[in-house]
Amino acid sequence: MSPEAARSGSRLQRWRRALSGTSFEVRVAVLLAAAAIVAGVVGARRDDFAGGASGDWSRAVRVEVKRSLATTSADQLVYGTIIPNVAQLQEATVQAKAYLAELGGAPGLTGAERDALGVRARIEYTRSIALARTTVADARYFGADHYSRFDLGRALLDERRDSVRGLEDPVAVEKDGDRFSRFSIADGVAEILVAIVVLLASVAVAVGAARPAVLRAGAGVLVVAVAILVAVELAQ
Amino acid sequence: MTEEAPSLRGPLAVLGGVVAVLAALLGFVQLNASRHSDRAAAEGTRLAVAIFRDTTAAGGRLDMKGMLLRRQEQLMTNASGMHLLTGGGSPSGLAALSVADEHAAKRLGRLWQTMTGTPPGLPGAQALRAEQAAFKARTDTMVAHQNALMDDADRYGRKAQTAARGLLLAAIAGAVFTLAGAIRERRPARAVLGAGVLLVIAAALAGVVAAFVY
Repeated sequence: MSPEAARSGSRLQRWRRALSGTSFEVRVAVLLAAAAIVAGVVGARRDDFAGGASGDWSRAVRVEVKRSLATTSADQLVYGTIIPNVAQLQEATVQAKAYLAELGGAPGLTGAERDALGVRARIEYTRSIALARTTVADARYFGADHYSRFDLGRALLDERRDSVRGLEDPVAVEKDGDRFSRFSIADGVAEILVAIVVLLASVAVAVGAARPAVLRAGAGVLVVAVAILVAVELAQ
Repeated sequence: MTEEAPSLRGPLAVLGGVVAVLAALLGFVQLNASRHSDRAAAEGTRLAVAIFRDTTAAGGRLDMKGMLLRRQEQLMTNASGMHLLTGGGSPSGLAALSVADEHAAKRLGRLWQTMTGTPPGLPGAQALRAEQAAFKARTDTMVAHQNALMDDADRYGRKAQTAARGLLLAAIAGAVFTLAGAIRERRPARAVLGAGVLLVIAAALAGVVAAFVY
């Protein structure tokens, strides 16, 4: 046995001797004092956890409001501005192409019809070029011809992602609150155990020194309460 | 002549312990009910915000689809009308324009159907109606869930309130037991002790109601 182990072993024995030598009342008082200290620590921390959980849940609501505002703005931008511009561009381009196709493909057109088709094709092409300029910022969502295939899903996704950049995830914030809430429940259980210690000490006082096992049971329960206290502290 | 009451010392000690355990249990019930109430209220409020956001987004999407559908229908209707009016030929060239516009309207219909993710083969208006119905069903489900959460918040709030009342009774019982211990005459001390026991029973009942009845 190392000198250190021998020293700590003898210290434990001294404590044991000192405790067994003390009167029954002193032992009850020591147990109750220890229970009161543990109850104070557990109670304060339980309130701290409960407050933390409640705070996180409220924060999740505020974050959700911020995110919703941001994504709603993004949706309005896409549905209310980008898509109407894209639709006009597509309409002008498709019409211009249809006039040109009619002009080149339909047999037996009169001169007036050729003139009308040519004029309208020119007008729609001019319109489509002007509209293409308004959609330059969204060029990456078009196909190679910059009109026929617009990836609405990707545009919406990108706008939403940009709008919520830097904002927390409300579900994650809520989960943090859930974690604190679980810790507060563990502390609540520890507090019940401390109250049981008080009950056992009271029973010990009622039955007198004849039943030392009651006091020992109280000490055991207090050890379990302290173990919960330490486990929660390590788990957070 | 007054009676000393040393025999009350034991019962008082045990009752003090019982009050401590009862208070701890009531505290636990209140803590648990409060956290459920807070959680359900926060979740319900969050869901209400999400419902509003989804409704706005779906409204915007449906508006956009409706706008595209109207544009396409308008082009097609104008072209068809012009085609009928000109009877296949006109000195101003409108007949050729109307044929081209009909082709353009059909092509745009296909383009916009692909862009908005409308199932192919489903007429635009029918697709819009189906989407509106699906959106309404989804919103109804979310609203029902949100209402249930708010009801839960109320229910757990009542539980917490009942447990808090039980705690108050337990605290009063503790004070009454202290008073019983301080009274040296046996009969009044026993009467006060009895009142304290009644308070403990009431507190325990409040705890049972808070934990199991609501």
